[in-house]
Amino acid sequence: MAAARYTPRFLQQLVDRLFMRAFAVSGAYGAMVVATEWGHRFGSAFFVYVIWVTACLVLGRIVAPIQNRFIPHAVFVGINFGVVLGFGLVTGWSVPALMAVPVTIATFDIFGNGDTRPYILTMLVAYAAAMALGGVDWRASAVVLAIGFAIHWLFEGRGDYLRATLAALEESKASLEDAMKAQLQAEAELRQAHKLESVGRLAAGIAHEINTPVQFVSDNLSFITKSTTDLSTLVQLLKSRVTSTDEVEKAIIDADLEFVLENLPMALESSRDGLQRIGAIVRSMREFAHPELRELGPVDLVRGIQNTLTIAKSEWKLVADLETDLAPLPKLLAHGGELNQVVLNIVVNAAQAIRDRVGKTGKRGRITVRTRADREGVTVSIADTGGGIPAAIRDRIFEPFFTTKDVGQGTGQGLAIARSVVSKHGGTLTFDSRPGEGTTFFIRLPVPAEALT
Amino acid sequence: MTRVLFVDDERMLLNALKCMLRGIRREWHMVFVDSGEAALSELGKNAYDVIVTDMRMPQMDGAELLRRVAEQWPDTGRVLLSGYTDEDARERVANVAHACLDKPCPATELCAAIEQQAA
Repeated sequence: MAAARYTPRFLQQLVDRLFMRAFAVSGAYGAMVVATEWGHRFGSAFFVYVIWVTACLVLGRIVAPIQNRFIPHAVFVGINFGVVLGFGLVTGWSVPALMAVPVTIATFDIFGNGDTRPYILTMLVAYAAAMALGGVDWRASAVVLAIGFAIHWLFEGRGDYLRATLAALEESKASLEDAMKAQLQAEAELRQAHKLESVGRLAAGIAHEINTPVQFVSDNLSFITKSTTDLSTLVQLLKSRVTSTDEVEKAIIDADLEFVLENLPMALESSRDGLQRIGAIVRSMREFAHPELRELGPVDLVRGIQNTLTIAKSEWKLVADLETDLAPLPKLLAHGGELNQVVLNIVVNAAQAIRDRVGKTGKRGRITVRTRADREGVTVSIADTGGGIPAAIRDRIFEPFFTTKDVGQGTGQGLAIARSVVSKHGGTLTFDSRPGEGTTFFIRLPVPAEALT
Repeated sequence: MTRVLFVDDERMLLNALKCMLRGIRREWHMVFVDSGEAALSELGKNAYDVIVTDMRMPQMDGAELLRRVAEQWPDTGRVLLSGYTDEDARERVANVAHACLDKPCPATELCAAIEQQAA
């Protein structure tokens, strides 16, 4: 079966080769006859040489398209050889001719593709004929032919080894480059991780420092609130029971008692609200940098996103409105801190994109954060209404150290690390960008099998 | 009457607690001290139903204090009220505290935790 399958192609190749061989032999023969005849006629070796070169070039042009089907550079090797040999024949200086034969054959064997034998044979026959025609002594011709065959025998197939070596070199170069890139990336990630860790430590320490005063301020506030109620009840009672004097009336007016009693509860209430906000921010900060999030464990991604958005508020609140549509997600098995970092990175970029677009126009953009869960896993999308990513750099934004920001503004590692973190979790980080409309990043992450059931 | 001992190196926090919890002074007898050492000596003198302590304090920290309380007065309920607990302290505290509360902690939550330990 196999033989039957290959026979037609083999036949086709054989016909092609026979055709080429015939073509090359007759072409070379014809060119040399013409060149030699004309050269003798005009009696100028240089003239013969010029015609010889021209004839070979023309021959090459004609043969090239046909030969291209098999062996592109054979034609050029042939032409070179022809030129040198012709020069030797015409000038009667046989050294170039003798040199050219083995050199060309070796070149052919090493750099040619596939089976070189038909071409070598073609050449040798053609040049043997040319030598005979040019009046080279038959013994010299025989020596040239013998050397040619010997060289061919020595070098045949060496090209395969060379090519294999070159390919192996290319491959190891590529893998070295990959390894270097991976190394740089790993270093950047490590630096980032160290930075995160120290930031986390710092944040936790600050959280503690803030939380203690928050605790006693809010305790005091509870006390003041309670006391205020008690005191105002007391004041009301006194007012109704005690006979007023001018002095008391004046003191009441000076103290603006009515206003105070009316506004105290409100002032206390808003203070309580403010404290709660401080508490929420500190809690987010602490959770964002929580030591447990450095480990692999169950992660509530929605909570992480909420904390991250709270922390990054200063980045976006001046230029954008935030819209969240956070559907509950199953718990992921992940490094929560790293995922927080990915979200933070994309949100900060989104704010930056909007800031670049709205500038000082006073307009505001919008950042929309969504979460969805389906059978495939979970998707977090973060959309901005910035200027979009120019088509020219879309392929490059995930490259390590690629940045569009000014020197000192960004290291160009953010998205590269983000992508590497997401793929480490078995997910994908992609984006969809429309110039003038904005960009949406999609973080897709798989859900552990047990969470689905 | 429930006897509660509060320990925190921050005097202002103790004062605030004192003020805030003044409303229940008839139900709880509360004592406030500003170090682990003071707490231990107070426990040596009087029995307490519950001890509430901060984590980060100079010299003896909350975890260490609760460990000693657990050894010497195992019947006393042990509550940690802390702004931040690092990993190492978290582990040490996990075995010795009955309850861990995060600062800032609303009065209701704190009272509920103390009531639970006292019961």
